Amino acid sequence: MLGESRALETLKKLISMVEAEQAEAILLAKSSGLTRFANSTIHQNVFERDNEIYLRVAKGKRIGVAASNVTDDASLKRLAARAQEIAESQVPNPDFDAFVTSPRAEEVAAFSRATEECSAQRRAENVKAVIDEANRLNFLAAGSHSTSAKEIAFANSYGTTQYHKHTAVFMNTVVMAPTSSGYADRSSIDVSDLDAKGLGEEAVKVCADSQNPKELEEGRYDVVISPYALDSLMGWLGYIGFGADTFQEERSFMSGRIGEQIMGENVSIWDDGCDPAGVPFPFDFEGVPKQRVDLIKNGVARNVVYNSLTANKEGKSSTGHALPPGEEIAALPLNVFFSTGDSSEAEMVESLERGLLVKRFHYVNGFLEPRQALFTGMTRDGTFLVENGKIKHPVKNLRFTHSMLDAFSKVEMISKEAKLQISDWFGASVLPALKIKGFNFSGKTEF
Amino acid sequence: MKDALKNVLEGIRKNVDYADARLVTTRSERVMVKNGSVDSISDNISKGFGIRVIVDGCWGFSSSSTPGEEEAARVAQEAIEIAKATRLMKKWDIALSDEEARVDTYKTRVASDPFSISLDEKIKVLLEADRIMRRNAAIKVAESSMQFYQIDKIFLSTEGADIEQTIFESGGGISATAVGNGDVQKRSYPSSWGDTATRGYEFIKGLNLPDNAEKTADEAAGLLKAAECPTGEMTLIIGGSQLALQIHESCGHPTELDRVFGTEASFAGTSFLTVEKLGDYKYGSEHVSIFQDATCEGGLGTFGYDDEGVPAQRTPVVDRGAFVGYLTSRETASKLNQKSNACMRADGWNRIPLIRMTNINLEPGEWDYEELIRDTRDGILVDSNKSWSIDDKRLNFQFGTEMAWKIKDGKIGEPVKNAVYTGITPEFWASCDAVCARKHWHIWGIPNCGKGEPMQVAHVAHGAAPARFRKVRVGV
Repeated sequence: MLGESRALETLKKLISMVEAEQAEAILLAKSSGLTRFANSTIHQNVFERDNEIYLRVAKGKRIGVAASNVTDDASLKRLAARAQEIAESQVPNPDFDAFVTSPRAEEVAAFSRATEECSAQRRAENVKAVIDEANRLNFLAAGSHSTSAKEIAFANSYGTTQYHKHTAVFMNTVVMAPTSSGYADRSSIDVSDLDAKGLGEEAVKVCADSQNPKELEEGRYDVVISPYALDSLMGWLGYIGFGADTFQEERSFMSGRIGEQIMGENVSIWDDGCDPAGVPFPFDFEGVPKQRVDLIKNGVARNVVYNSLTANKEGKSSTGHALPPGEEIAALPLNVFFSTGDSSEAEMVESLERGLLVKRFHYVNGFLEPRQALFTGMTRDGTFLVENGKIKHPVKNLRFTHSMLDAFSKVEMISKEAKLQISDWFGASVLPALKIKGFNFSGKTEF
Repeated sequence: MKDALKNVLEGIRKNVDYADARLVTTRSERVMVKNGSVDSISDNISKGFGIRVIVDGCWGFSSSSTPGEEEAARVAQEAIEIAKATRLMKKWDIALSDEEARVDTYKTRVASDPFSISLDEKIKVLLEADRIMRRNAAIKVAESSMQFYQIDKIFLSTEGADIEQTIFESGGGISATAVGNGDVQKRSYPSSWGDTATRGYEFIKGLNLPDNAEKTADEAAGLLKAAECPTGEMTLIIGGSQLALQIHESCGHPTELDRVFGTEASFAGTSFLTVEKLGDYKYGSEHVSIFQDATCEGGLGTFGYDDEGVPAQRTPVVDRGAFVGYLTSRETASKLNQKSNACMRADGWNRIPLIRMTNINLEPGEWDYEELIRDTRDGILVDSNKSWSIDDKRLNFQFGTEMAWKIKDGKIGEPVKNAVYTGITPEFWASCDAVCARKHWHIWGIPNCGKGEPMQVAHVAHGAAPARFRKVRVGV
């Protein structure tokens, strides 16, 4: 770890090399180890250590961005000069006033020394715990296990400084038998909280239960979807609709609908970068402290998230959701929460007269018709036909094609437990299981 | 730094079964224009090295962006310790196929170094295309972009390899999004991802972005008024850029041999093209022949050597419908008693190489495009990808396209919107009854192929000409 003082000193030195009137700089430092396994053996074991610096300079309303991971003094000078050259070539941006002056973000704990120091040996032992579970039924386990420590430091020429460090642990597995598979994952800040054996047990059970699946005709089915499945929908929902860019460009399902009921009354979705139930990250890549933003409140479209430029367009203030400079999208919710209910996943299954239990979706795509949030994707790693509240048999995987606005308007039950799903970039989501009426399955595959 | 890495490899030689080091500097420049203003210009340099070792038959890898021999020695030792940790769950010893250790250099041939062209020149082209697209009142969002890469990499191994490569990439494209009546429709040129090649700035000039802006905008606006695409089982003609993605998802990925052996099982999935099918499986009709070819001039998947030091090759994947070859690495090829066909590439210094597509090309047929349209009584013509999804063995796919037209009595008719088609990979390719000739063939660069954990983005390409498929299910 660089530590706060060294990280901010580097940024202040870089800003002092800039002749333009305004500059802001971000330092991302990362050390990350990852162990992958397949066929019940480790096949990839890697480590990386890197420090990236982004520099934005403004000459009037012209902004230039340059980035580098070479941080000696001569390279920093070149970086400063390049950002200024780019600014000089730029066209004035009418929505830009000035880089933002922000108060210091409130510190939130998201760091574990045990995770930072986690060795390849410890990751291998966790992998062994999963594989041992698979071996009990002669199944094969695949998966990955990462441990990372990250620092983000921010400084600008108006004296705003921010610093945050956090750790992340992620482990997943797909346990496979000749005709089936089962998935599980775990996310945490502290590697000591990881229950690798429990992870293995969960995936092994799904794999065992989903053997010899039968073909099922496509059509509309009531479904119970696990938090794993919901996670792959929520990522797309945020990408196509909850950021200010697509909203302002009338491409989002939120565009022109603020204040309208677009989902069911039992559905609330919000972003909160400071909630310790997620993986807190209290400021954005413009140094702006993150606000809690209600995206959907009791089914009503309420807000999208902004960076400073998109906020200026509407005469608003940034909500603290800027992405790093150079990204195609200006702002995204990275710490998403979904309302919980009062059911268990088992109770939801029991309530199905005839429907499907879907453990996981695969290769979801949300570009079909973004205004309707029409998504497609496949089921994967455990899909079950349920009749009269009991699992009748596993079924071969199905393709769904369905509007998420319609699906989230027909949520009949929500689990009281929500699961932390950590992102491999920044942030995390905290999501429940859902029971949805009349989910459209439009195709099927051979396994 | 190269000498430092050589010294470190020499120093660890006696402690490892094998080791290689890659020193990589990637410079990228991206210019994006949106609705009359330069949305972003960024210039990024990423430099570092990675050391990969085999110790006691197990892989280990570590990397760092800090230069110097002392750091390199520390990283090498870290890779060795990681490999030793791998032994806890070892089932077999890693074996590599034989390969001659080569000492060579390779550089992309460019007529015009893209980094020598001023930003002003690039911005001028993009703003002009943007201005033309926004003349159409229905266009809510006009976007145009260019991106350029220069990748300098050195590959060294304990076997004696010493290879230096410089690869240039240039790409660009435009898109127009029309909004109206609660509908959003987008058209892109030359494809949804623009187009990118291992060429210099001359490639950008050849794209003629401003000259294609008006048509792109008009087609997007026209789609707002278009009827919905008909649904049902019908004849489909797929244009080259959409066919490129079809090849990518349904042939490129399932023929990656690491994926076949299960190493992507927990992430992107496995493959229906299991090893017992090699040489004895009908993948498509006799009109379907596909090669992996990292040697074709200008393809985005073109290079001199892969990241294991194996020279670029052209090898068959599908021969007149028969499945005959995989994309391989030294490790996976050895399991089939083959030699690697040079498909291992890493996304930068801090990633290990994985099997990645190169240029996976559908060989051209003999049909003239106009003749193919005339020969089609009733069908749909689709092009430019909008959405993509495929199952985790690469069988059931669904693609949406930006653009579609009805074909009636041998003529292209009215445009229709929201076209979606779906199928099962081998059934779909078996239904191919015509591929257009080389004059209609183009290598489409796809700069965003994701694979692996941590995620690696590869730059690949697919040569394709329009082709016809029978009895395809169109619609959801």
